[in-house]
Amino acid sequence: MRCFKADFHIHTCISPCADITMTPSVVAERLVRYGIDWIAITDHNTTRNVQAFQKALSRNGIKVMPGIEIQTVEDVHILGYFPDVETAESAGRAVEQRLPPVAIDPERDGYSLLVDETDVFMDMVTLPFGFPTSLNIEEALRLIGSFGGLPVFAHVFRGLGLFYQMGILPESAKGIPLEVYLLEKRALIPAYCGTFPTALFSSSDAHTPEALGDARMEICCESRIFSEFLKAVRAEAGRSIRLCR
Amino acid sequence: MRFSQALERISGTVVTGDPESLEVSQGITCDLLSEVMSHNGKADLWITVQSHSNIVAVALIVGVKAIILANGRDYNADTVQKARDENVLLVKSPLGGFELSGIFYEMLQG
Repeated sequence: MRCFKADFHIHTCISPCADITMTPSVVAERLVRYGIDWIAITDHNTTRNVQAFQKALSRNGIKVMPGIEIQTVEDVHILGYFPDVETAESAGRAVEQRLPPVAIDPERDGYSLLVDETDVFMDMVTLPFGFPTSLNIEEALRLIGSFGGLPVFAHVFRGLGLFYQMGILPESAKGIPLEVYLLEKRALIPAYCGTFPTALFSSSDAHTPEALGDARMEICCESRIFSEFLKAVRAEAGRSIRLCR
Repeated sequence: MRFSQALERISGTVVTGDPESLEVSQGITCDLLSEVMSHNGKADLWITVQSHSNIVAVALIVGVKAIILANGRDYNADTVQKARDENVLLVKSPLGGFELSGIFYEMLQG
């Protein structure tokens, strides 16, 4: 059993609100500096940059969990983690189908840059990744589940987080792990969830290289694979997720 | 005033509940549910574009008796069921939140 320093909420240069310097080599350099060795790439409503980051970061010994951050019609952000890149890409395409038919202005709305594993920009995507999809919370949860993924509600106490947007815990959200950005807010969780056991995550939600830093959590398990991750989430067989601060 | 007095002016459709027996005097217009929950003071009606079933739960917590869904949106099926169970009036209107607020504000002040 080992404890891996983890950051499971990182945006890349394809997220319109992220810095265009969020490229594989820049992210790798910061992660190596801070000893983080297990991350998830979670761009807004797309999974198109996951594969490039997975390839590039593996050269630094960093494991990448394929992920996404879906914005629902209620303006709630839900993270989805998937067993492998191909599955994540299929899920990502399904999410992209639910983006609104709006034309974006990259100067105003931000650039969505597809990158390869050597930091070369391959394309500028003009889909509105920064807009809410037409999926409601329940549909987003079902979509993630239908691809064998694990949903986690992102930054629940902040803007675009579950409790901030929805006031109280929806029925459909019971038992689903929560990401808490400020760990001191942990104390509020029983008031929202009662005694329901809920796994807690804490990650950087980095949109810039500078936001990548000390890991906020450790995942303690046998190896950095999806099945071990699920065991840690469920605190099975001695596996666990430990929050660091 | 009775809620039903406003129904025609807002081109409202009753989805569930009885607008005849409902007296209203104050309202709130907001789409952020945590903000509605922290609303100080009375609110009988609530104008929003949120249709998730949590709006019924939040309405019960703050004492809202009628929800008006703006912009011609539709309620989720489970929201309608929950409102029926909890006796909350659900109305939908093709008008926007700004127009709806103006109509109710004027009627309630007058």
